[in-house]
Amino acid sequence: MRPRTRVLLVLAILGVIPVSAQTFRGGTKPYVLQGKLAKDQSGAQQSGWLAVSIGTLGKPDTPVRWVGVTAFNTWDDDPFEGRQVLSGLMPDQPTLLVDGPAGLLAQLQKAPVGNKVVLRGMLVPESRNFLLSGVQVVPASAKMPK
Amino acid sequence: MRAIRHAQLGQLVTLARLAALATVLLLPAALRGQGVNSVVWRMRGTLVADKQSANDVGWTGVSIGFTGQADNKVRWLGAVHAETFGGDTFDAWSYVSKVAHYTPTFTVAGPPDLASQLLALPDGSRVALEGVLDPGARILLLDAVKPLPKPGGS
Repeated sequence: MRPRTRVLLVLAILGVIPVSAQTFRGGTKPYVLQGKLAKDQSGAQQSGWLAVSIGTLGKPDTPVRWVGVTAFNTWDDDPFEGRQVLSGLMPDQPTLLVDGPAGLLAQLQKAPVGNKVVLRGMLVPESRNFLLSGVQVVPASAKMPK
Repeated sequence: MRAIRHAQLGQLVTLARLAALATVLLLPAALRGQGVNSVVWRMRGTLVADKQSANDVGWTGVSIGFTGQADNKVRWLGAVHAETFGGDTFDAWSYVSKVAHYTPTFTVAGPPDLASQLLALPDGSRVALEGVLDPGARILLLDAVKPLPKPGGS
């Protein structure tokens, strides 16, 4: 083995050189989630691409909300990154931990099952914290306003 | 005698024309009555080699066939976003989920230049497909095939 190769091998073993693909996290940035509120995981799986559970940060006793996600985009409308980031949070539960103004948290908590929901906020993928800046709830039969 | 036959033939031709016109005018209404409406459609995803790869890179694998091509000539798309007119992702998800088990999921009916463009894009390409979709018949009439930049803007 050449000395140069030997040095590179040692560095790789020590972790100085990353030799395996890192899980893509995407960084902290605003996201928009669209989906339908469901009673449970099974219901969420039948109402969207992906079933996600939403807990409340610092309140483990608050029941999680299940959502069948129909879209998850970055603030600049990149669904490729959105899917990658959201998939990277699976399968741990809850998928997201929301925090934010009490009014928004209450709006999400009280929204009826079957309703459509749009959540806007800042996602920190490493901690799965989703700091809400907007919650929109629309009846199932209504069209989602643009 | 010849005049009578000529008149009868003329009546038959007129009748046939009326029947054709009625078909053209009434068929869409009849289809609407069955809940089959065409919708303005937009879908984004990554073109890949097969179903497994499509399911890996998208929320779901969507297979796209082409009229005039062999039945087994499909492009697989890992769909990451679908919406109908006005940005409705709920209806779009509903349409796809009902037919995702078909291969092809959708059949591109044209126009030929856009169908050729879609067929020619290499695997790994990110693309936005826009057009009009008949969800019942699973037929997609393309209006645009837009290659999208890969991660990092390349």
